[in-house]
Amino acid sequence: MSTLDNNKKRQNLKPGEEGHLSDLKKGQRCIVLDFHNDNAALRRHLLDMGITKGVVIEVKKEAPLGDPVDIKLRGYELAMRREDMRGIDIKVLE
Amino acid sequence: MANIVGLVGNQNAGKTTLFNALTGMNATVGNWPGVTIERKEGYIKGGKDLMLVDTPGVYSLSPYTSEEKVTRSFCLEAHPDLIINIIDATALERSLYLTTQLAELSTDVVVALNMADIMEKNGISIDENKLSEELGLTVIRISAKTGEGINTLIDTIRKKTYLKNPHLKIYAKDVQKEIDHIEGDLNSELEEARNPKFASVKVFERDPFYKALSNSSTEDEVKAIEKEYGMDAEQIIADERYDFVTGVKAACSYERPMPESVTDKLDKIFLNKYAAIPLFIIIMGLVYFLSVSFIGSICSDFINAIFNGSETISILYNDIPFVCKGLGPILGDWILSLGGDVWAADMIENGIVAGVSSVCTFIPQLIVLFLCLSLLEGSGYMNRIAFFIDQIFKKFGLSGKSIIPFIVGTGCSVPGIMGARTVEDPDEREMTIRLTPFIPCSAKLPIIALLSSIVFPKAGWLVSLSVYVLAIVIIIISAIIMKKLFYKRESTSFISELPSYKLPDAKNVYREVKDKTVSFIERAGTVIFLCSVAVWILTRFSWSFEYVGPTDLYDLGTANISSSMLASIGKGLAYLFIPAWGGYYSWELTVSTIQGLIAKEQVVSSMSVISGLDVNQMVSASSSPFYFLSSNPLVAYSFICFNLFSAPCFGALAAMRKELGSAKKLFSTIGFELLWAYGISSIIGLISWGMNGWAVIGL
Repeated sequence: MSTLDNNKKRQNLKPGEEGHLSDLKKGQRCIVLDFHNDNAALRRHLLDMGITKGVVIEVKKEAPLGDPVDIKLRGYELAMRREDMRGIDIKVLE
Repeated sequence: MANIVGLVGNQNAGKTTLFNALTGMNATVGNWPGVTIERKEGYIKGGKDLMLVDTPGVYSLSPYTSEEKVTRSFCLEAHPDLIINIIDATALERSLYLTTQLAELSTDVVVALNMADIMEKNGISIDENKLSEELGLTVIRISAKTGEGINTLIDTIRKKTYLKNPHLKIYAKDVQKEIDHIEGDLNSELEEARNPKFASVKVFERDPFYKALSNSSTEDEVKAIEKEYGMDAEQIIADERYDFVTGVKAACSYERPMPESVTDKLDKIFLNKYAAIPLFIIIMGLVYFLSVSFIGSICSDFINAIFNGSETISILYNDIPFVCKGLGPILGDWILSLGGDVWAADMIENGIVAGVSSVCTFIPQLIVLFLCLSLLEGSGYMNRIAFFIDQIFKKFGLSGKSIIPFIVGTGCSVPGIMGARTVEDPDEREMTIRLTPFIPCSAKLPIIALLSSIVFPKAGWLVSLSVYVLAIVIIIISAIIMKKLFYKRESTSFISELPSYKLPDAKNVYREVKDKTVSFIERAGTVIFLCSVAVWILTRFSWSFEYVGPTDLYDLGTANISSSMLASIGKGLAYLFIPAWGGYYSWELTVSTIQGLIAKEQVVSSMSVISGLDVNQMVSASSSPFYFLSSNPLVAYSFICFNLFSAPCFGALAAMRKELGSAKKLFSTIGFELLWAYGISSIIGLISWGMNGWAVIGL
């Protein structure tokens, strides 16, 4: 796995721009475009949790130390690490 | 024979509460995902014809954690006659995703739409008739918590008035055609083909478990579809299932926009950047203060007095006159008055009553500790702890979820070790299992409490605190060592639900605390009773089975314990412990430590049986072999450390053996723990030894 540090190299995305879910800040909403992950079991699990193409995700809460992040999708909330969000391609909404 | 009914649903959907409501039986209920750690069974109320089986929460039948595998194999292999699929009305889409998979099994499914009581509050309205129509399954609106709809559910199951053989139209035409095609080709002799519809979808997805059912022409056809969709098969299926579910949801439910929820408001405080960790420390400190310090200072002396007699007792650190003969002395005198031998009276008074009482003294503290843990779990705060501690734990190669087994482990290592199943990553899970026993469990409290009162009679709490801090340091260092040496795999993950805060249900809390306390008392009554008798025999008889115990019940000095069997065993092993005990050659301390392997509670009761003194006298009486500890606080500390960090009790060892899955892993863990315990206590012991000018005492 790459050792990209999400806290430092996070892009600042504006509405309409494309990037990764891990780039999103608290309060931003996005739509999922595509989804790939080297870890097959993790990918399967995230698919099962409802992270599929076209789903709308909102970043709701951040842990006090910045990671993990709590996201809202399909009416429920899910906490995950930023590094697990890197394989999720998104487009920022609003 | 009874019909088997399985209870299946997402984590946190209220399965265990529904299980309790349907069976009227006790089962642990918590608000952190995955509290069902063992398969629980019970008859559904109103007869013995329906056996209900509770399963661990899952999001799909493709298992991710080892706990979820239990549910999958139950659904696929255990031939349940019916599955009750409990769905969370407040997370309808995610719940129904699992329903679409269950509906493909050859087993009938009834849907229980839960959380009717909070649906309205959350601005959700669902038309369950419409939902039933869309799914082709019977849907019953219930509230597991208030009991609404439970009787209707039971009636439907018992009278079998539910809809059967649903035909869901989930997939697009070409995908469905391929799945039908696969189904037609299934080799029905194979075990995996037992649920043909489900199996066909799994073959399409290339699930490795169903590999035997696939063939090269299927593979080619699936590839063609993947190319057309621009996604792989797994993604196509997940996508289409969710599309279907979204459609169902739109057709039968309505959501009002809601103002900021209470949970969000509370999270602004409990997950606040600056306040979260101080709050966590305050909350855990409060739990410790309440259960250990406060309750202990009120009850411990009193209970001890009831068993062993007293003239004054200390309540809230004030000495209060309390003259009481005590159960032990009363029984001892009674036996003597009946003309019984001194040894018989001694066995009762100084063997059994002394042994059992030293443990019972701590029951009030346990009850309060179990109560606090139950509230932390039930309220949803435990999930938050896992959430914000993850960033720290990740650095040591652990998951944030490892904190839950650790915190539960302060009560008892056994549920802690089993609770590690919720940690997804196998490496992190194994590490969590191996590290949980380092957390001082409640059975180790007597050791800490007794000896810290020797070391610093005025500031015992400081010693107690230092032991917990030391435990955390050991865990961190161990985790780093393990990660460096044995678990080198890089990629791990943390995925957890953050459930809404809930006011813990009083009934559930009561049940949980009661169950745990009763099982502790049962242990005190059986294992510790037997051990106390065994220790008594070993201390009162020599190898030639001569009685060497006291000849006068009121003067234990008349005993010749040093020629007993236990003494000679301890005398051999005591050489090993000279450095740890600061140059003190002591079979008494050594033997008590060995006792701790059977049950940690035994350490203190063994000390009290060996010395023939009760807990309080042991500290002060110069005739006590433990008098040495009071003048050498460092050795007392070293003794605490060895007992705390060496191998856990047999119960925890059994749980570890089961969860680690191999005896080899268990023994390597025990070795690792003994190494730590011996290392740390030797370092502390050596300091004290050096301060005493390297004099060997007692040899």
